[in-house]
Amino acid sequence: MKNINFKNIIRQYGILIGLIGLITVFSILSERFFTISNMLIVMRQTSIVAFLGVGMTFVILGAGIDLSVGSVLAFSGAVAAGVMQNEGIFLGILAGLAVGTALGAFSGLVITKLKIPAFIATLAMMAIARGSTLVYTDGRPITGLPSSFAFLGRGYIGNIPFPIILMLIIFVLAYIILKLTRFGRYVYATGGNINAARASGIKVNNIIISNFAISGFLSGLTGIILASRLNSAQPTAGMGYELDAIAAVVLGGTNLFGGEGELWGTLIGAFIMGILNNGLNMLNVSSFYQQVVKGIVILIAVTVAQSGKK
Amino acid sequence: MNNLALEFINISKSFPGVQALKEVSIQIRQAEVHAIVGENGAGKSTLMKIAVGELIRDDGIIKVFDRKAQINSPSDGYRHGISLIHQEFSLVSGLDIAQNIFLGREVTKGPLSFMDSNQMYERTGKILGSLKMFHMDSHIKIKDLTVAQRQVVEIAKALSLNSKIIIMDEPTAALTLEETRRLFEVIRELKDKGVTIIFISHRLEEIFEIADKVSILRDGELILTEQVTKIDRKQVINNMVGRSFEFVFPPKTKQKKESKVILEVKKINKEREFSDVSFQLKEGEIVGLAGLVGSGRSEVALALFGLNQLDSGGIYLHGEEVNINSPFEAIKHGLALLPEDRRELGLIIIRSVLENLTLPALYWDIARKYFIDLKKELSFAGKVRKELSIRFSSFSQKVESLSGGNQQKVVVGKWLMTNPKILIMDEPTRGIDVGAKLEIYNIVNSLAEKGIGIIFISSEFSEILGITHRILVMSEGRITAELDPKNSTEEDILKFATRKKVS
Repeated sequence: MKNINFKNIIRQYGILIGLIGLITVFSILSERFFTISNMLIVMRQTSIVAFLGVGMTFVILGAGIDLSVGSVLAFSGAVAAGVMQNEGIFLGILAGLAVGTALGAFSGLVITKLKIPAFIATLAMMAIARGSTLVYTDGRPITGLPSSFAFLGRGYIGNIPFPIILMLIIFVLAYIILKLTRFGRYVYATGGNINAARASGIKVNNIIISNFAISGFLSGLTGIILASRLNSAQPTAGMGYELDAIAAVVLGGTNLFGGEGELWGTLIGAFIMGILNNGLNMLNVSSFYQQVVKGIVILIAVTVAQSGKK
Repeated sequence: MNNLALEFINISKSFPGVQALKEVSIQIRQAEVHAIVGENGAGKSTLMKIAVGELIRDDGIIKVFDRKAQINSPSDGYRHGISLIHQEFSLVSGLDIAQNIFLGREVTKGPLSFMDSNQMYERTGKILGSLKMFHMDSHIKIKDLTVAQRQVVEIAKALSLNSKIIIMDEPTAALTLEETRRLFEVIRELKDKGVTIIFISHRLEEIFEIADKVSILRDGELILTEQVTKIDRKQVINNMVGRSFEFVFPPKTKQKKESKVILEVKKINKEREFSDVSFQLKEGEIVGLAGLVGSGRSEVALALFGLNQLDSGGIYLHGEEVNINSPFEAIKHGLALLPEDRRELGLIIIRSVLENLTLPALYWDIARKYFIDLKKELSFAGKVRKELSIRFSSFSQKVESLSGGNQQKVVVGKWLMTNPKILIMDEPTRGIDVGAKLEIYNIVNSLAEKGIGIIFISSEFSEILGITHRILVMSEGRITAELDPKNSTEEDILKFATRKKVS
């Protein structure tokens, strides 16, 4: 029986144990790692993956996948920056969020109405949004943003960077939506068995479109935060971020086939990605090797999680 | 012909927290049809999986043709000539019959080991030909076959492996009477050829028809092995459930004279599925929709529930014509569907009992605008749990861990919460054990007493006769007869269920 309990613990808390282990290892290897100031830096870095990861969690719980988040992020950021130059911060942000949400919803429509698999539909969107960014920016960064816009990415409330606070707010909101609302329940049901969900009276197409719209909205938000951080909208922003977001969700234990998974897992998954980046930098590991290490960590984590399931 | 084909000696097996088998010993002779019966969880499937090496026994000896056999993996089972045909088939739906039969051991030719398709199709054709009750071309893809035909492909696969012992786990669960009859012909042919058949079934009448001997398991223990000629149905049931148990259908509910028509279906059509189907359903009435699989019964049910679009015809609720294009609208109009395939359409098996129970009702009752009223949800679910006596340890338990009977009750429960006026039940007792069946019948009766109109679809004609007020028989997409269960027999239903279209 002891053995079973051990497996249960791994299944439920394996990812948390992994996170603590990772922090311990880096703390031993580097004195500067486990300090308040560095932890805040880690969390600020993590917030970017976390925003995308929360959206990706909705999509994957609904048995979808969104490969377009990195490109949608770039296009939303560019549009926000472009509009901002003439129309002011508020309208700029609104435009960026609207573009992200609309592109997400469009992917959802293509998936549900044209019955194209999410993988392909969002792969197409990935190219469309990236291309649109290059067209819109003419391949050059958009700079000269209003100075007060910097608050979103670089500002502090008290001692805490604003993106961290925003991350917590988004997390709590998403948690409430998933656990306490009808919509959240429908997301799990649709991903768990779409036919049974439809036969229970759920308008499954609306659920799927909403999931992609949420992912698009959060991609847009990420693009805006990133533009604020860098004080410019980069046409190449968010390249490869979809993989970090998916990795965070998978590390968090969410079933890639939908219907099972928890939001806090994604948050921890995002932290693991962030800590790996930060810790490896501190240890002066070359960025080429960092990719390899990240990949290996994902393999190990998922293998351990699976062994807990059997 | 009297040698032992398969002998289990003191087989024990335990899973975490459960002793699945306790020193079970059974002797099975060659060319014998040996039935294994028991309630769900009695250990039948565990024992069979041990026989073919899908599970490994904790203790005990297996002898095949009088020689001790080390069966520790599926390939060992195959080596000893034992095949198990599962309830859920292991066929690849996109491949054809021959490709499936030779999957993983394709016949090759030439130095480069190219596949020898001609030979594979020829050999498949020969095996299929030997099962002469079923005519199939070996080029047909599995997805285009009926359940019965797939069953036969599984048997053909076992034969192609030269299996001397074939175990069938509930082979008739999804078959119609006619198909069952043909499957039994196949079994008899196999028996004449010296093949030993082990047969697991919930349907006792089948055991008396086809088996030579029956072994009864209960709670992992062998209760007895007996020739079927020396035991009767009642004794089998008593031994299965471990108490005196007389299977009778509960008394039918009385229908009120003044009860109103709540549903009227007028000449509904769907190309290639059903045509000119018309009938009425009254409050508190249980109407049986009998017919063979493929007769269009389930398709009519799906159409009423908005999962299948009509080509023409009208559906009237309380006298008013309604347009039902989705389950959402069907539920809004007070309909509920207990689908034939509960794992595919009825349940989200990886989610909890609670979430499954309240899923349809969330929209109508339990949620206020956007937020779920968690307290209300629990109290509603608790009420249904009590009313239907659904057995599970916690509401957060996944539905997949429940027994078939309890899963079915969860589906019933989830619809009760929407307060339906019309409940369509498609094969509600398929694959559940005797005790749970009786419970389902009682539930059906109590719902009818509350005034719910029930459309009861079944391939088990005894059950249709035992439970309904009126029977509609379907064949080839048409209603061929309306019968009064009081003065009809199973033969009457079968006669109309097999009636061909008169052109």
